[in-house]
Amino acid sequence: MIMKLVRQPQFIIGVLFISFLLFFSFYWPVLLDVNKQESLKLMDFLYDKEGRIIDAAPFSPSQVPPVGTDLFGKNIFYQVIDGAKYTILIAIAIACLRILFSVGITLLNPRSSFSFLNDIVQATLYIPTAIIAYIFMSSLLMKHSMEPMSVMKLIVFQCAILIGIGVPPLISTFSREIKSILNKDHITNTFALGAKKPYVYYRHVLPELSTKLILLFAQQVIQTLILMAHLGVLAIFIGGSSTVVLGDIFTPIPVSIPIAGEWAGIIGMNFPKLKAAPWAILTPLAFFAVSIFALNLIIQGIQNCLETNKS
Amino acid sequence: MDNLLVRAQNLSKYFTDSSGIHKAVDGVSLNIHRGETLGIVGESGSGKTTLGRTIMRLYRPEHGQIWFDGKEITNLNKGKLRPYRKEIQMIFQNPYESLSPRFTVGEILEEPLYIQKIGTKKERMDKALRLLEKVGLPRTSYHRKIHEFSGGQRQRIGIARALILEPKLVIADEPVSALDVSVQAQVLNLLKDLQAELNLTCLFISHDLSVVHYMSDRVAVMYLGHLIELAPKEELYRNPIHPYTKSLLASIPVADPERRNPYREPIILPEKPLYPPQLVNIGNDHYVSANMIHIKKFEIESYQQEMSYYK
Amino acid sequence: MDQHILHVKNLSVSFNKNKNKMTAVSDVSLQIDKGQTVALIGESGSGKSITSLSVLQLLPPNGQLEKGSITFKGKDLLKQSEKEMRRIRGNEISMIFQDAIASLNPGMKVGVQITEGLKYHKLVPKSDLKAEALQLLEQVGFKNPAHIYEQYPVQLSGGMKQRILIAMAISCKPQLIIADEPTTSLDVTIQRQVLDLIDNYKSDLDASVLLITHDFGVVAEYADWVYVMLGGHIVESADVYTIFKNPVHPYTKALIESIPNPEKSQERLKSIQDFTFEKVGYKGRTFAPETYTLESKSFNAPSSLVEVEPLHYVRFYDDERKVVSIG
Repeated sequence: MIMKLVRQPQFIIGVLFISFLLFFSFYWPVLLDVNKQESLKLMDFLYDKEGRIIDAAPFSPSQVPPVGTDLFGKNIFYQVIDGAKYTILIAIAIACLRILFSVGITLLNPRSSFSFLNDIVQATLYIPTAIIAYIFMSSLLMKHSMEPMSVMKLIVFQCAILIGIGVPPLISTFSREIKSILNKDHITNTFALGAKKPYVYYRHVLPELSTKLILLFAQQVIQTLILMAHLGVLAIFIGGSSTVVLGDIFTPIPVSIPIAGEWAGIIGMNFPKLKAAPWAILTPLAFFAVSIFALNLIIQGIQNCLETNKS
Repeated sequence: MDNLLVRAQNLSKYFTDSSGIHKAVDGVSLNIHRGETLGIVGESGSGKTTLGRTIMRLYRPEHGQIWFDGKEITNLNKGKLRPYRKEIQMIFQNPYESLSPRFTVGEILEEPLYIQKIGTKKERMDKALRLLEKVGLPRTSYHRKIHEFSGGQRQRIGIARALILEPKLVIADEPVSALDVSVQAQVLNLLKDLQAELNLTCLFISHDLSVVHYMSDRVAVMYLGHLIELAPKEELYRNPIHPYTKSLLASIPVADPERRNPYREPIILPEKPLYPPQLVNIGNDHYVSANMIHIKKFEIESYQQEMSYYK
Repeated sequence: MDQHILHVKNLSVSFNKNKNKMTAVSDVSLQIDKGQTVALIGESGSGKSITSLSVLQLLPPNGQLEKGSITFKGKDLLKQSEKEMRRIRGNEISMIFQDAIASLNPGMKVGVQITEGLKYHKLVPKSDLKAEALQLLEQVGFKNPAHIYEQYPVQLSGGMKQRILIAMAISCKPQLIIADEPTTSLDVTIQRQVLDLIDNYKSDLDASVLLITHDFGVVAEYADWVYVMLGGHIVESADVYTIFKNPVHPYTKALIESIPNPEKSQERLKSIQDFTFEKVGYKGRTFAPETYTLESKSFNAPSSLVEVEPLHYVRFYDDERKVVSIG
């Protein structure tokens, strides 16, 4: 199985892209030979050689290559690169935990049909997850604004919400999947030998589920990325935000600034200034799109593998 | 009685689904003697597979008792049952499903020993190789994956796996019905040879009367969850009493066009009685499930038949 | 004019699988006369189903008819238009498939379903369809046709579904029924009922049946003429009495003798391995296929059918090879 995956070009390209992005995100100051603090500093005005102010933030891509700055004058490109590691790693971690929890819960009682849960999943299938997440997240942030907690604690809570809303549909998928595996003759055969449950799960059920797990994992990463992008637009950021009021005294514009530097935060922060600085949103969006594309390539590779396995 | 390996008394197993209670096995009593092969024949839905699995205690019976080797195993829990798992083994119908497709032949054969914690790694391997030879496969099969084998070869592996624990009772559930005709004969011959060589006690389940006749010493006929007739095979095939058994025997196609019979007896498929009548001995170890009135009739008939033998 | 109702001549069918061409059926010829039941017997992968599908030109998309001709009542079926073929299917030749469950539409009352063909071919006015359906249901042995008419396929047992399929197949009074393993998944008592139904229909209308099966018991009970198929070839053909009395090809022998027979007390069954192909010859000729193995199910070398006695054909290799002994 693994050997077959390695021979799938799509899979290789996808994996290479994601790992390159992560690598670059961790080591970009070294690789590009720039000072991290320096390149991410706030820059309210742009000066010419004589020290005169020529423009105020946000700056366009032609003024600050390659893709301009946000409305605080922070370089978008460096921000996006720096944010890649948080975004992708958080998405991977959440997807991973979703899978772990749902398999674990299903295996606690694999014979149960989780019918109640199934009904809920069916009923909420057409409600966008972003809305559900938004409801939970905003109440969490409300609580956070009343009695502040540490950033770490907040991130843990937020991740818990993101994990929690993904688990029920997965449980219903897995319970169906695992039940069909448990009904196979060779499982009965093994139980008939007097095998204990953990042995059967470990030796027979999980290996049979493994490809499906990898596939679902990649799909979950994508889902999480999309969910984070949506939440970013709704100004919910992982790690919380602080609100800064911009604009003049007559037209105050409240802007939320994310504390952690992930992509969704960049989108959400720049969303009110969509018309003034479209590049500030388009760049992280493009990175979202490309990452999701890379993940889709991985999924494609896995699926090709599964098909050749069958024939 | 020392000669009895299995004694089942009034055994019932019900399944419930949305349409209500389904009595798969209903009040079946039978004995299996050491060293004999008891054939169970019946149509799909007659409960023969359920009976086999209930005797194995893969299912917990609703009513009745099972004694194995002089000890009652009806209500033992999983832990207490584990030693008995070694004593009763099963050969499954479909060798494509009953053997895990991910394992090598060696792993499949050694798994029962591993689960029952018997022997060292080396001893397990030796035993697996010995059994491979016994079922007529080359030793080189040990490292090969199961999907490289044809149906007949897989069923040989299935037989080897069932025998590796040296069970006292082997339950063969339609072991040849998924195989091609020309392969069937090989597998049946192998089973018969092994039976004689290892002095196995066997419960042979099949829908095919000819196959059951070839394999068994005594034959039990099941119909809609009831045991309706039980007799030594020659007696049953020569002198069927129950109308259903008669129909069943009459519908075996005779492989001889010279004896084609244009007139065929109508097939009688009786309704399921509410309470299963008790098995009644009518001589020659021949048991029929019938009520008193019928028995009188049977007695007269068989008396007349006996008379005609002496004439 | 051909006196055979169906005449298949030198049919070869190949399949494209993963860019490889696989020959599934090669050089198969068979004839069915009016009022005859012809059995095509072979194991899985022998090409018997492919042969029957080519008659109706219902081969799967990756299958190709390489060469040969199929004549039905004097018409070359390969030259008919798709429209004409649709008229013939169901109307003049109908097929009964093995899998009754998959062949019925689950969302349709069976009574309506069995008259689909009649409606499609416009053989009966619409107002009479129900009466016709009830009559068909009665014909296939249902005691209360009006009740069965209202049922959906899920409410029926396997044997009942197979009988519904037969009702469907005979609804247009076809002259040829192709029954592809009609009873393989059924119990013996139902198997007999189903086969008797087909047989009765045949004798009532003087129609013909192509019975595809792997069971020599069924062949012995119902067939008039037998073709034995192995690896895409016909290896032996004769009338049913001859083939049981005097089987020549070792494969045919193996198939007949590997069936356990309750009436003879057998110590051991003969299996295919007991008939080695190389060592056995017949009157100085070697049987094809020589290289047949259970694993590969393939063989090579040119071979042809030879008449060993009047109207009894066996496949031998073309070149005369030295034969060790005469079997």
